[in-house]
Amino acid sequence: MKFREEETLRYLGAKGAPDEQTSALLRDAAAQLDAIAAPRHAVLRVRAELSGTRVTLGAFQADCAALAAHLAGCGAAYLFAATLGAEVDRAMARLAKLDVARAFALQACAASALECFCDDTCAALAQECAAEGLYLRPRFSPGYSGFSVVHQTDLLRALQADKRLGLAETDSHMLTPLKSVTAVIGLCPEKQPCPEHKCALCDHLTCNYRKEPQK
Amino acid sequence: MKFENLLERQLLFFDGAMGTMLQSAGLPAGEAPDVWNLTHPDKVTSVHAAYLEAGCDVVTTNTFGCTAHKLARTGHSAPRIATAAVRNARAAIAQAGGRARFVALDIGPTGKLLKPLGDLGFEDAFCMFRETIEAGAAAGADLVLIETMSDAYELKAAVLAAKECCTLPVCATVTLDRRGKLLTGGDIASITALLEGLRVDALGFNCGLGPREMLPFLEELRALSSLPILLQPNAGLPREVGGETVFDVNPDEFAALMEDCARRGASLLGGCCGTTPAHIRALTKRCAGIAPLPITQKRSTVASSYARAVRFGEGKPVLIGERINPTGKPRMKQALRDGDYDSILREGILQQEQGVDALDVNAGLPELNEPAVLTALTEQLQAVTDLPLQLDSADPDALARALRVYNGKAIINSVSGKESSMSAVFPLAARYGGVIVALTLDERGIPEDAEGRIAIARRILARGAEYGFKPHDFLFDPLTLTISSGSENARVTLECVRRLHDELGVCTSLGVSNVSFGLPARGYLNANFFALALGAGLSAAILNPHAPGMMEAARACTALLGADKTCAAYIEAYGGTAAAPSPAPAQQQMSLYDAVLKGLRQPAQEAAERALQQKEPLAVIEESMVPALNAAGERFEAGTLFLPQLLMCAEAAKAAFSVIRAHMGDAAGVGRGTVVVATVQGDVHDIGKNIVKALLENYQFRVIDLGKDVPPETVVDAAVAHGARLVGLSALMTTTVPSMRRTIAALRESAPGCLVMCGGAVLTEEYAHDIGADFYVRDAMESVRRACEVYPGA
Repeated sequence: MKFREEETLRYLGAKGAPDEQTSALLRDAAAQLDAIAAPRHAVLRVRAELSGTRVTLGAFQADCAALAAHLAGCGAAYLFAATLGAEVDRAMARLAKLDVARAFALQACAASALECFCDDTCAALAQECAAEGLYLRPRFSPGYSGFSVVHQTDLLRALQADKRLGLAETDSHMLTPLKSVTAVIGLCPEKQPCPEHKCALCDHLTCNYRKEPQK
Repeated sequence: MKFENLLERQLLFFDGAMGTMLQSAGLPAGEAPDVWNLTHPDKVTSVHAAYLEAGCDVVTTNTFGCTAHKLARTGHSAPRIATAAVRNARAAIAQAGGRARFVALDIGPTGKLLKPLGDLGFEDAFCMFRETIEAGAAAGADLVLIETMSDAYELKAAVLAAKECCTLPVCATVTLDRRGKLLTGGDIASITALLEGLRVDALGFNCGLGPREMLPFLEELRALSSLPILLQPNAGLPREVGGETVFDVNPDEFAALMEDCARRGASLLGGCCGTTPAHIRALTKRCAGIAPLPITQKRSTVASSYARAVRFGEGKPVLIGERINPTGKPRMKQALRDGDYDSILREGILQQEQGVDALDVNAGLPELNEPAVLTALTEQLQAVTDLPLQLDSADPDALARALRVYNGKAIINSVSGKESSMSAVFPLAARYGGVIVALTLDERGIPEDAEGRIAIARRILARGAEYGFKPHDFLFDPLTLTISSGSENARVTLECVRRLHDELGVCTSLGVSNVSFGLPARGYLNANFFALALGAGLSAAILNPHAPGMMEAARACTALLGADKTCAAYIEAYGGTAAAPSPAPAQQQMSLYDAVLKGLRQPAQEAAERALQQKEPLAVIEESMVPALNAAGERFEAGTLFLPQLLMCAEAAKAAFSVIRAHMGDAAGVGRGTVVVATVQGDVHDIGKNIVKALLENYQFRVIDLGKDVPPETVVDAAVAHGARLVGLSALMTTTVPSMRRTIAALRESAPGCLVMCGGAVLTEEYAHDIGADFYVRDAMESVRRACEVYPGA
């Protein structure tokens, strides 16, 4: 699977050019990921109806100011979910018992590969929408920036993610398999200036994984 | 007329989609269709009536989402809805009148992933299914239809629930992706083994694919299964058009494709998403009068895990790793007593890497609670390996509990010709499925000659038949006795293997290494006996894959006996041997300090061996290991060495320590102090905790790893039970940090002397103190430093 080495190294906490051993660790993780990942996604285009903080996206409804703000100006949206599948979780569990360095590398590589997979999927959607003169907003996921993680339940349900992707949530709304994403993607008629990187959209300023952490 | 009496006698037609029909009748998107059984029974009955009018024999209740989890927010209970749903289906059949038609109680997935992938317990899933099935059966359903399953473990929970709470026939179908795999990784062979072991009445596929895409998988299933096959495909592959999911296969095309399926062996036919009464009408018209293809009995001996099936007696011998057995292994005994399964799980993975096909699992120690330990080992092993397990116990209770939680069709080790053994083990095998290892001994012991052992095998077969077992459900073990106590012993065993194969047509298994007990150079005897047994037709062997010569004998004999086509496996194993370059001399002589610091496992182990030839183990630790680990830690904290490199050092150090400890024996001690680590309740991201654990172990701390999603009380119990003075908690997500606060509060209450360190991506120093932690640890090295402070000079 495609992944971004620079991003993966950031997840791994490595700075500068990697040494030969770290590169080998990453190469092995990438090869293993290729063998086991089963990337799948589900997407549903819906009308976006906003009334104050109340958002209605087809079968998905939420009372959420952050989501309403994200969708301001959008007449439609995509409900989106993607996963790399259960085998990646199993491999991480196996490696955690055998070699934690390899487990760590695999999870970092998988995190980046999932991002790439989502980006590529969204790029294809963007192309379809461009024909209609619509632009995609960045993916906006439950659990980030005021979009409560409790909305995961309805988002998964609207997408029938369990049946179509084998993707479910725990009682605390964590996605399982772990390497999975859900998101709402607004469709608007104007191109918005894009943030330099996705971290700029997130209000968790002290996150260890934030690009250019703001102290 | 009963449903089960018509199976195999005629084609049986099921109905099509329900949810979309109800949506066109006014069900709002996002509302649970199941609730309409209570609120709009007439609408539900009309859908059934339309399918009956289209000619189907079986209507499926509107209960796809009728489990407690999916109904949670509707305010309705699953039993109440299931009861109403059966009533609605019955009403439609009564209105239609005429010939016999049947009500299938529909059981869909819970919508949750089972542990360890998700957080739903196997028994919790079982209970959810049971309450629906009990109610549906009591309300008068004719059969249970378990469908759209995409996880083997959940499928097993549903089938067991059906089998244990009613006597109705059970049909089970799974959803495949285009590769022919379940969404959580199972394949057709493993699912077939599981379902046939659980004795369902029919099996097959539904949803996910259209009939065209299902056809090749039907062929595969028919080649494997001896049961009637049910197909309920979608009306083609789903497509998204303007926010709507559409299906492209029209009724006539659907019927034509399904006719092809019927002519190739599917005998129960219906539809799933996108199919309508028009599809079913076209289907029943087109296929009326087609006789079902006769089913051939496959007589395969097959065990499975969630992901793979292993077949016995089909050429290649099945190799079963014997290492997970505490007999004669003091360290494993200790690990089992301590509940420290990590080293045992590693042993399982390492045997898999050596090339075995299945793992024997034995926890038979007199001082252990064997049922609990065997069950825990089974659950933990199947989370880290996809090899089928051979559950090895003389305690029927241990077998029962482990078989229940096993995610697949296990190998059951074992039954003997003793009546007490057969009457205890056969009911378990009938309930949970399994390939039964049968030992040819009885109340009078092991017969000396082959004739006596064959006679016991015949008696076991006859007694097993009373429970419905066929000869292919067994693996006979005619027992290996050491030639040091009788020179004819090996010859008798080999004769048994040959006769069991030739005369009884059954598969065989042997624990080969017993043959050399009490003799020197056992490896020669073991490998050669193994080769002779394979030549005599042996199907499986329980062996130590690390022992020199055994895997070599297995691969060589497989090739020599013609079971390794074009010698591909043999060449793959040994083809590169001659060409492999010898390691550079400089690397061979790398010091232990350098090897650990550079994070090189193999050189670290070799360097440790060399160092131990010159120094005492403690000196090796003090003079090489500790300085290397300290240097790595300092470089990490100075920012000149990064986390992946630090972890590679940790793994190299772990490998070296394992060598050093083996030289220390009892002097290895229990470490510097105990640290309990856990990812808090609600959080399932445990990589950070695993990293901390790896480093703490390197610094010789004893780490009690409670895993992920751990309730506060479990953390408290472990801290108290192990007398830990330090607990490490991790949480990755903001939403689970409150759970960390609760855990700390619980520790303060019940383990007041215990200090708490917290870490995780979203945590800050300020937040950690706010929730009551003693230490905020920003990275794994800091957790080591804190542990060293808590256990100074230990």
